[in-house]
Amino acid sequence: MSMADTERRESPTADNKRRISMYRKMAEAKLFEEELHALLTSGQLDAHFFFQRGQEAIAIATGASLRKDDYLVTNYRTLADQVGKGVDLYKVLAEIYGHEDGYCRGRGGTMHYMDWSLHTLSTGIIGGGMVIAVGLGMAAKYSGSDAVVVSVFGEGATNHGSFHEAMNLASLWDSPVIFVCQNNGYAEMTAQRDHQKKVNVAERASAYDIPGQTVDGNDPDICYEAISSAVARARAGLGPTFVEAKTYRFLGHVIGDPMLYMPPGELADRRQKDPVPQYRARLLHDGTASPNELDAIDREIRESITRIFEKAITGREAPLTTLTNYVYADNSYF
Amino acid sequence: MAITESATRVLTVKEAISEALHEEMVRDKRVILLGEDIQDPAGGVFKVTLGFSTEFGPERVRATPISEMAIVGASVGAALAGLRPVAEIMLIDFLGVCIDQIYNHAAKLRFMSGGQVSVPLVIRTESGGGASFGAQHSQSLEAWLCHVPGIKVVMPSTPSDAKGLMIAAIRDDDPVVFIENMFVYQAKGDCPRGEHLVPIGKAAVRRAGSDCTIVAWGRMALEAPIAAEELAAEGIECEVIDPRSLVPLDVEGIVTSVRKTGHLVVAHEAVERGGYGGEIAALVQERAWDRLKGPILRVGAMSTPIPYAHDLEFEMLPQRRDIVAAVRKAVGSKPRQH
Repeated sequence: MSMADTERRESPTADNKRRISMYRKMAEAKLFEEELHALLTSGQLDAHFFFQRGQEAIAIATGASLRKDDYLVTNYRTLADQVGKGVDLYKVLAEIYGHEDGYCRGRGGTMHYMDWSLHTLSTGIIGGGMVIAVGLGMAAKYSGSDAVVVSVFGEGATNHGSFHEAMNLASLWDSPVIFVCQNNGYAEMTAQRDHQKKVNVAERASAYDIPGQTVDGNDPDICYEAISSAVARARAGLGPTFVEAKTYRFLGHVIGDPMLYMPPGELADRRQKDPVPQYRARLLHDGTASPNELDAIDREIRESITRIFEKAITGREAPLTTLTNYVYADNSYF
Repeated sequence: MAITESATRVLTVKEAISEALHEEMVRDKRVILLGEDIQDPAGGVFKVTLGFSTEFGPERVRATPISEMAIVGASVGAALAGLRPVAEIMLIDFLGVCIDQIYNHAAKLRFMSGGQVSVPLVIRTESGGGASFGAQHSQSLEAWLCHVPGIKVVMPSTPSDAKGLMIAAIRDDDPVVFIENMFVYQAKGDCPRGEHLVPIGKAAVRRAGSDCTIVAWGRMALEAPIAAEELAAEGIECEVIDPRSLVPLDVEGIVTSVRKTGHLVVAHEAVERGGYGGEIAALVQERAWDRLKGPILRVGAMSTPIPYAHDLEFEMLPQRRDIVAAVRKAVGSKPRQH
């Protein structure tokens, strides 16, 4: 080990810190979903869930590019996206259980958990978030803030009419929105080739005079570079950007999906290129972190996830008398 | 709020809405407008916002592409971010292309987030037939909106209510769909100057009577008092109630009236089948069945798309004569022979 390497590890640059932090969050999202998958498939918890497993690189790099007051509008495949923004995984799991101390007090569930103190918002309607993102960006700009908005969706959503309306309006208004398409190759249970002819959907952006770029969505460093540049552009008032991140979905559309629509061997092949262990290997290989550091991180994550899962099982649903809370601001209507 | 006579003057409903929007924009910089053609020189298809973009600037009065999903969606986003957007969907017929943003997003985000967010949004939209605009530009679709928990639905018929409800809607922390009937636009009446609020969820009694209650809104709220005068000439005294707000609905006000009169006719321009009149009939039946002296009757449009041809459209839509006939039938009276 060279002296320079030692020094870098002892007083890491901001870059290294950030990259190690990205690894931590990727590993955290991965382990949380793996534990949740085990819980659901073993029948200990009866819930649906849309796993983001495999898409951690683009998801975490996106969060790493954002400030706390920046907005993140995602869809129902959102765990890693929101981990990237810094959500409390205990509150996420409590919400998945439907418990009172979940993020949404059991009103939202697996598709709608969100943390407005971090400006995350998720919707279960494909395409529904894009137009909302344009409005958030417009309001931020109108209010004199330089906060930006990231709208996350899959390639399937780019076939939705709202995509066209949102892209056109964001372009027209120079709205500070970064459209992040996590192209995982499948729209629910339909392969991309069967739902759109365009392979690189970023090419669609030019139709709206929005810069578009296709990147390797499984490489966190490339994703960070692309998203943070787009964020800087939006923050400077230069308008929207479209980033397509090519990635892959390991656990199908929803829990229990047998994934019969995938070509034989494809999933196994892609699992060999799991972005989380790959990034770990890179950080070790380029000397950003030592094995001891990453082992310690892995151990901490394991411990904290274990605690979260042990604690969540003891929670309770909200009292039935509170059912009508939050339908309207003033509950006296009921 | 006490309003003295000198503080009012005659306006049309359209002028009253325009005045409410103007006063709220002057009062609160968070109030912004979005919609097709709303900037000058057009000033909106119905001219409600004429002069607004010149006075308040294009940042606050935003003319949008013909993209209703984006209009409502961007307004939802702006409301989440703390603004008080008023979105104009030119006609209620166009809700079909943006209803997802209304009933899946505006209506549900507070609840789904466990109270973390508010969507203080007003959606203004025009409804109603009778002017040969055909099947896609004439409908009354308020029942669609009333069905979904999380949104409020108001439908004024007088200038004073239009102004007071618009100001209340803008200041409300929940999404409000504000339905402006085409014929009601031209209705004239006293309207208070300056700050004037009408509470959302409180009905107005337009005429007192002891024989039959008529609940009517939108254009039918203008027809019902005239129908009541015709019926009074036959010796049937009707109590006419304009709910003004459909969600929340002043159930107590309506039930109290029916418990007094023993009869109820509900009149709306919307298609009778699946209309909100059925909901009101059910609510009253559940709460006042022991006082009912006859069947609750509904007056609404026939179950056809709205025709273009004048006579066909007139036949399809409910008219004043239908209210008169329904009240006679409800109270078991034959037309008086003169």
